[in-house]
Amino acid sequence: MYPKAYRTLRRHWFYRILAFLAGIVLLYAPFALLTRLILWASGSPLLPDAHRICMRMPVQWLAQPWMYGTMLEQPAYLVVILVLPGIALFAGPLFCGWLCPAGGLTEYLSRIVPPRFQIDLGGRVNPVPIRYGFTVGMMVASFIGGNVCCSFCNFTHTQNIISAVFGDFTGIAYWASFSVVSFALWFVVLGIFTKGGRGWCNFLCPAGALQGLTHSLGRWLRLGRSVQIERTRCSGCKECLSLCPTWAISEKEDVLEVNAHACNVCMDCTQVCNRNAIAYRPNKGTAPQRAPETAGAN
Amino acid sequence: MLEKLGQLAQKLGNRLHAFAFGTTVALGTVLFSQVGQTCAISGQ
Repeated sequence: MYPKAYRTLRRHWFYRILAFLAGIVLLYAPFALLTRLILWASGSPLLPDAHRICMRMPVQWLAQPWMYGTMLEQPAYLVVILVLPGIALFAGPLFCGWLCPAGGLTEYLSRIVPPRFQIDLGGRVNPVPIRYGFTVGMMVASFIGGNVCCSFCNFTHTQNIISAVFGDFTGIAYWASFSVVSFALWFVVLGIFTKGGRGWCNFLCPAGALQGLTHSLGRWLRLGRSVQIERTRCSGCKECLSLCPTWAISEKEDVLEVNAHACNVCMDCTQVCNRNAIAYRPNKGTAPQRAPETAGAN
Repeated sequence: MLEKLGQLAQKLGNRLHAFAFGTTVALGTVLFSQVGQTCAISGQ
């Protein structure tokens, strides 16, 4: 069962869903307002849709110096390798937790599926090294003639779904490829039938990996903000742990901690904590250590 | 001291294993990605 505190999250989720809808309007055809703005500003004749601000290919291109020219010619490609990691350095992967239509779609739909039908990997698997490994593998694959980016592009799937809603079914041709497998993995297995609905993001999103890396760097350098647990206040109820869609909260020797590599600052956990122990705090100064005698209390 | 080093080595080993698993998934996909899939923006 989901924790009782889910009821207190309604307002927070309302704002998150508004941000998710804003993400669709900003990035996806037929709207793609942000994409149109960038293409217009750079004088690009390309059609505005999810492919223009590609969230995957530029990450692969980081390992391909001969593609740097392409990226500089089309500034929209710089969003995923400069703008989003830059934001994540100071504020965390706000794009992932609030705006990303591909991650948000599966997360919000997963709440409709009864938890007894869902795989619960939270606390059992650490997805962070797998995601970094996948990102590096994706870069290496480009040197042996493979294109893992588009085979695993959940943004294209989301664009196809949204286009179909608005009467454009041309994306159906896309299904005659590996996309059938990746759609089933993204939407079904690691999506709505995984607790939290973010299995794909947690294991296989290179844009998320890049932002997780800079978010963690920001915390290490004490820059900006991140979700932190004040251990003296924590009662050890673990409601935040059971709620976290990215499995970023784990328990080690009766102490809860947030993994900045995995956290997408959705801030659901900060809403559910009635002792205000977990909050989005400045990284300056370290959070007080939890007193051993209070460990595991309540 | 040795026990701590052992724990650290095990932790590192687990992470390396997971990292290698992710890399293998990506490289394994290359086999499938040859079936009718090219990049929509660069044709790669």
